[in-house]
Amino acid sequence: MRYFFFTIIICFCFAGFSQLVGLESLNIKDSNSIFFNSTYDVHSTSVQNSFNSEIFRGGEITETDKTSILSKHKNLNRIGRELKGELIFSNLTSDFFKLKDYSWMYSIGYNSIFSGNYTKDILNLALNGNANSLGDTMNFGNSTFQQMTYQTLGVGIQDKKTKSYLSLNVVNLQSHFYGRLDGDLFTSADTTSIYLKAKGDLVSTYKSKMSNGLGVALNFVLNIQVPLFINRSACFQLKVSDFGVVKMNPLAQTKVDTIINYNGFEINDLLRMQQLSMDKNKWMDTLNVKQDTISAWKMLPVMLQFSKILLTDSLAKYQTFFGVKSYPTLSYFPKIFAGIDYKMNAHLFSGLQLSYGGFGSFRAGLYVRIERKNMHLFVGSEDIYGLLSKNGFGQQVNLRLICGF
Amino acid sequence: MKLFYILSVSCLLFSCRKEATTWFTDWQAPIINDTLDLKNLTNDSTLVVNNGFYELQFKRKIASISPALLLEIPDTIIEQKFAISIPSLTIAPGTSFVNDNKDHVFDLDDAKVKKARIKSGIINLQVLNPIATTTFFEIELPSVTYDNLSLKKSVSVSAGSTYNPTSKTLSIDLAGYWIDMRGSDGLSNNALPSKLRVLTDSNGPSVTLTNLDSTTFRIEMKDLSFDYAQGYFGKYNYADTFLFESKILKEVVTGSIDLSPLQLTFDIENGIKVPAKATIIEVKNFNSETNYTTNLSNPQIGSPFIIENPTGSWGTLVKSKKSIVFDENTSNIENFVENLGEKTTIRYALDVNPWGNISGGWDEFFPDSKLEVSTSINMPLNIGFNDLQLRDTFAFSLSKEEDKTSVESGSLTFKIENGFPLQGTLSLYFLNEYGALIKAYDIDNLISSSLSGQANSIGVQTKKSEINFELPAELVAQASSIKKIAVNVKLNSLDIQNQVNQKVSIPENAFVWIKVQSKLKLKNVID
Repeated sequence: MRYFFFTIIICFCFAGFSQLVGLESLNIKDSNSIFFNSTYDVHSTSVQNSFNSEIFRGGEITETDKTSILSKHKNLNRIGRELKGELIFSNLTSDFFKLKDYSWMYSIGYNSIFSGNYTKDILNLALNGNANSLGDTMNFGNSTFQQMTYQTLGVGIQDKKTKSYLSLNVVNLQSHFYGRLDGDLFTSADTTSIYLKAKGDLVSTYKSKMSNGLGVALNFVLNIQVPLFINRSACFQLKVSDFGVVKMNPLAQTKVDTIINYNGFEINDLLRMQQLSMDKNKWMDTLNVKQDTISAWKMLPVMLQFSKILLTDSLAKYQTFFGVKSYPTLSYFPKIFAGIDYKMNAHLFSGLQLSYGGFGSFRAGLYVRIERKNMHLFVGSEDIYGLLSKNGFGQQVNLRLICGF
Repeated sequence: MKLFYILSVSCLLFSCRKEATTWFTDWQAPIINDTLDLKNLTNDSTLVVNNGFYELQFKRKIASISPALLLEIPDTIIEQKFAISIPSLTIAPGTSFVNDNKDHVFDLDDAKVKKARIKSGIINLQVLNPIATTTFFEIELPSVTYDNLSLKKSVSVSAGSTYNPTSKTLSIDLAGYWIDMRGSDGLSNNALPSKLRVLTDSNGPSVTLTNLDSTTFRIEMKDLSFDYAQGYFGKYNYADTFLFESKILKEVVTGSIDLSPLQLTFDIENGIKVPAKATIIEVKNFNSETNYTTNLSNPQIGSPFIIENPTGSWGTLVKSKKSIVFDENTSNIENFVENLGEKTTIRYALDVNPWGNISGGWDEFFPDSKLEVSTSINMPLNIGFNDLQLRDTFAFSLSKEEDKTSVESGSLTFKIENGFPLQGTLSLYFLNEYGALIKAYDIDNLISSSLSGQANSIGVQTKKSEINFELPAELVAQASSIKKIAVNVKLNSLDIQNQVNQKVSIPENAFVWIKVQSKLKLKNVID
């Protein structure tokens, strides 16, 4: 058993698993419990898994790959990646400062989230250059990308009965970057002129540091049980995660704001030029690219979710769940989801979930969960097609383990 | 079981290693887009158009000597002290106790100036009063006049003492004043007469003057310059070297040109009435590529010649002019120019009053007087080019690191429309930091002669050419070693029929339109 748990923990750390939306355990009857809770999610409106593999695992992106990738893209596209891990200890035997209905809870978490929205033209420029777009205007369309990796350590108060909780977390910001680019690029068909309009900025933390800032965040879960029919009730949950800010250590900022009409050099310019150089600093001056070091506050990627959740001690053969999830500060389309849970026997359950939105579009998922006296195990994926096919537009794997003692 | 779990964890760890992600992108951009013509040279009068073809008419001033160089007036201080010779003397109020007229002489070396008009300068008049009553100084410089009125000043100075005299200073701007330097008797030179009278305050007390009381009068003349002078200006020797460097000739590395008959002229214009002679000591042209010097030969070089005086006077001055012509009959001017040396030096000397004061003091200059030497070249722009090579070198740097974005291959497309009757070949030399050759490439027949072309919309006969130059793989591979690029253009003026170099005339509005476009394939790497 020890080795089994050891393996599970290692899997959390390296393979990554994700939390299946909408499932929460309310009625662990034991006094204390530990939740292992993790997420791995890659999703996009336009980037297939085959391309992701090449980026993340390496290799050459061939011309065929590029044609295939671009054919799947629309004018505007989204992409996102989420890697989360969380460990929550609910100390239900304790009293929160003599409040007998409330107890202490403690949590530790790891979050890495990346999101972006971009135009097809900017991807085409990055993959192909400008040679296949002569005579056309390539529009950057206010493309943005952002990434944040941080760890949390929290303590909070939990309602012993409803399991609602409010926790205050210290946040360590490990890394962050944000980039935005708007503008156009036009290369004339006969390559006699180039018009570039670019406005944007890039902020990134300096690498090689474990901490690039500290902050605070609140996590809040409110569970409300609503009676429906005789002996039937439903539970609705409002969840707010990572509502907080970090103060970032000094970080590098690069800004560009330029309009250039370039037709080539005159002979006199070349004769006067001291050096024909691809020197980065010279071209940065020409393109009005400025670099600076700034210190700023940054909001964490707060998550909002409202859903009907499952009751783990329900006698019903079938249960439904549904809801909406949003990351308001990211390139994330509010995701609506709905699913059905089926009780196969006293301890084994399975479920089907459909969702639309988020970093991509439509998804269909499956899961299995096991309920024992002191242990609940959830294994599943929100995107079965993506898990199995390289033609899918993402992958997601979920695992959660709850142990009571 | 233990082993199973250890192995499964190890597999997970090792499965996370990844290789670099690479892909290729293609980029196109213009590099050069320019039109070269001779219109600027027409605008600044270096070229003129004659019968539809350009002619060279080049004139430059090589020396300009102003009279101020001949007659420099040093700053001068003249001081007079007045004291009684007896031990003491009591003087009543209103008594004049100093009454002095004196001629002061300027030290102007061997120049003897009779009269002059002051262009700029100041005079400071300082008086010191050592006696115990207010004194009045009446100062007159009778030969310093403005509108025929002599310079007169009255200064009152408060009571002073023997060892602590009171003083007063007047500063007067002398611009526009005339100064007659013939002295009180009208027969001297460089002289400045002064009249000084000092009297006690008529409303003051009687005072006792001792032989220790020194009444001082000081004249300081500063920064004087004349815009008119008459007299003898003294002997003056001036020698100088004029250096002319041609940037474009500096880029000629080899080859030759064949010139049409040309004429080089030295013009000496003189507006200063002074006996003088000049010598063109040496004219030479140095080519640093061949290390060869050509000296211009002509009977006049090395031989002094007289510079005639101008005629006329105020407002009617007519400068004298002497021209020395160097052409194919009188010199080796063609060989001189065809040396194509980037450095031309002209050494000359000027002697003023070499025979002393033979004018009887009638040297004279006026406000607009100058002695100027200029040179001009006249030549039809009808030149033969024989493998004439021009080269310019640029510093260059392009880093190529395998784990970063780098140039994989590329090409340059040259598009040229040539309106000059010349053909050319381009060579590119890629050099390392020490100037050693890494690779060299020739782009033959890049520039085609306009003689084989057709008239364009503005009537200029032009020939178009387009050549694509692929950047060789071995050059791209060594990109990080390349620190300099030498661009070499070789020009010939071939006759279309017999392919022999001939002299060609450059038509009006001739131009060369050059466009260079690049195509690059970049290898992009994400590690």
